[in-house]
Amino acid sequence: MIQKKVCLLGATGVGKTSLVKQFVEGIFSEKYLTSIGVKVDKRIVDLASEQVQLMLWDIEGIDRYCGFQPKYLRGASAYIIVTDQTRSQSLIEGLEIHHQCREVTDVPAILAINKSDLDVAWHWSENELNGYSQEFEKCFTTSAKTGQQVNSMFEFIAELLYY
Amino acid sequence: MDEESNNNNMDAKQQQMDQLRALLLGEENQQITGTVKKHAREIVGDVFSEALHDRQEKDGSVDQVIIPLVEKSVERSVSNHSEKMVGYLYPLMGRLIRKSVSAFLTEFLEKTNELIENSLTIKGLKWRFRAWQAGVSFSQYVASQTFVYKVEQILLIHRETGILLKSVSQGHGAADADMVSGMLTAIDDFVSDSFNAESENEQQHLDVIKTDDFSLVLKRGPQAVIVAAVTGNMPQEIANQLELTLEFAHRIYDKELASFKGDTLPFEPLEQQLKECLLEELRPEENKANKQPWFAWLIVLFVCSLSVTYGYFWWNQNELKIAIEAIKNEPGFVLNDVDKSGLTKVKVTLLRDPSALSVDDWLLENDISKDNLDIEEKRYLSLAPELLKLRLTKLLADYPELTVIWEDNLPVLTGELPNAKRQALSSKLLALPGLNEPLNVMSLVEVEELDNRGENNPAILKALLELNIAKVDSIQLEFDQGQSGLSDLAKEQLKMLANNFQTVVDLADKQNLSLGLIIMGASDPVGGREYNQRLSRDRARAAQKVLVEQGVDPGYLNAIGLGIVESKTTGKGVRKVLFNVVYFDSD
Ligand SMILES: Nc1nc2c(ncn2[C@@H]2O[C@H](COP(=O)(O)OP(=O)(O)OP(=O)(O)O)[C@@H](O)[C@H]2O)c(=O)[nH]1
Ligand SMILES: [Mg+2]
Repeated sequence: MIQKKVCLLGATGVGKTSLVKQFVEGIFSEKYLTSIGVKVDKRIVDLASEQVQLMLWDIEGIDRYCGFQPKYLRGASAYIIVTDQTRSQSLIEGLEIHHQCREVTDVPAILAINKSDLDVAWHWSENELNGYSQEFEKCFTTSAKTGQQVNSMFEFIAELLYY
Repeated sequence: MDEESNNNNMDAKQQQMDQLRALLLGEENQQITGTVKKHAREIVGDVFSEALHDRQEKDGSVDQVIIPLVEKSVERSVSNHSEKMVGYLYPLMGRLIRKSVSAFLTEFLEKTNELIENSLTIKGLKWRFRAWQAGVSFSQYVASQTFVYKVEQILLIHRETGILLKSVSQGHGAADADMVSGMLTAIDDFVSDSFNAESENEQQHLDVIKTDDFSLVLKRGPQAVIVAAVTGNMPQEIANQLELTLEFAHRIYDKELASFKGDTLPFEPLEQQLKECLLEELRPEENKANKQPWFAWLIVLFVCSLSVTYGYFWWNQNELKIAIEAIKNEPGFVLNDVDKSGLTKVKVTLLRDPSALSVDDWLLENDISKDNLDIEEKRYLSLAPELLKLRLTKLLADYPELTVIWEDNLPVLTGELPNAKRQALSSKLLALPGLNEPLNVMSLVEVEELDNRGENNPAILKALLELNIAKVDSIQLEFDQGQSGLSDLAKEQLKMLANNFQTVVDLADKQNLSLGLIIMGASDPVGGREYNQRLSRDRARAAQKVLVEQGVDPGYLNAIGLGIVESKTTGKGVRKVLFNVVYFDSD
């Protein structure tokens, strides 16, 4: 079976761990435990004729205390930049991380605008968002809580990487 | 504005104070200040801390003065005495780093622990208990008990992606090995980043991760990492073996490793090579000279004496049980159940034939005391030959004319009896349990009166005729499917039939009756109607032929084929030859 490494990156508290948990175990918790280091998880995705095993690297939130570690990206086949639509800053930080990533790798990047179950509370306009999305392979509006677009995002990645 | 006027005010006041002081103290000013200075240290010392505190409280100005001072001096210390400072800070920093690293590792270690524990077998349960008793971790216990060392699992990991290429383990495989691989790679990345060594080209890496339970030994190649999970004390041997295997993997799979896109299939054949790394060394059996504590001996003694007492009872009870079980060999007894009850008693349930020995007699005969026995007895009729003998002897007490010959447990009676008595005996024999063919038993008993009175008494003659005709009519020959040949049994039956028929002919002659024997062949429906018609007739004729050979006058015989005959009740075909004697008055 083909295995692919996929990294989740983004500011702290945007829901990287929650997205992985939702996708792998199908559960969501309101409790916030900040991640330290990396947690690797896996799930097999069934494609039309084949299977792909995604190795998901949930990387600790990147903020001013904890810098970007390009080493974790090594060998990744794709990465997801996760942002939180209730915090404007999370998109700025996400884009910054994205640019840092681009210095070391040119694998496909996905933008996840997370917490879609909550009201939009950032000041980015539709146009601005569309502009930023151009830098990514695709943009998903996800919710780790309701599961909205979570499976479709990872399935999209599996398909993208397999073919 | 307020503050400024306040300050001006203060200055004015200060000037006034100085003037006042000059006026009051005059020339002694010098002397007094000298005295005050002399005691200044004492005076200030007494209130220094309090004063600092009050002032800080009042306007926070102490901080402003002191902080820059402290910062400057710390800066100077750090730059001048960095070695010393690191020494001071290290214990603190070390603890912080360790804490964050350990949080990082915990989950990983849990996974690996699971991995190792899962790979152990059921005997692990016993060890788990012992480990718990000894207060050490399970893996540690296992390692110390079984092995000097043991390589539990080998992982071959693609270095760049952290994807598990192939893993082998002792016992059954572990499902999470691929997650562990990823995390191990992440940890290695983390370590090489966080503990960067001074020299640029010599990066630090994990070589061994040691925990209380096991060690993870890592060997790095340019493209792949090999990891061994080892319990116990690892010898150099393992490291060498790992290196060899890693080199081998690089040599053979150079291209696949370099162009690895996530497909691990090409690395399957490495299984054998990796398995060679699953080394272990069993701990030699040691004779531990254990000192047993005295109270343990006391307990042992107590337990021993208890079990001796108990054992004595148990033994007695067992002996009794074995002894009583022998009753099943006695004819006319069936032992249903023998069970211990309580500490000494034995409960027995048995069946006894009324003609057999009584239980008490049997016990007496076998020298078994009744004291500890609890016997429940039910009646039944035994078919054992011994009992048959007993019953038959009892029955024959009324027939002194007869003698019994035993042939293989089968009685054969000889002698002569009047017909009535013979009939009575035969019905008694029929009622006798255990006798297989009651009438055969009597086949040699002659009927006395027959010759004396038969000729004269037409009624008896008629009855005898009927009896013998019935014998002939009752005979049936069986055939195999589609066959008209006679079996040995059939030939034997025909011989007997010829005899019987001769008797019938004689008796009929005496009574002036004409006779005929109809021989009827029948067949089952397999094959066509016509075929079966012919087959049934052939069967009848075959029987007829043998009868003629046996001396029966063919004039009496009439063989016919019935064709297909099916039993209405069973629906099966009848592959037989049947006989029927017909008679009528000659005149
Ligand atoms: N309502 C809502 N809450 C979410 C969603 N995703 C995450 N959260 C909450 O946000 C908090 C942070 O989630 P995490 O998944 O731990 O965030 P993270 O990105 O892994 O954070 P770090 O590990 O610190 O970088 C948690 O309290 C989650 O319950 C979402 O889609 N909807
Ligand atoms: Mg997290």
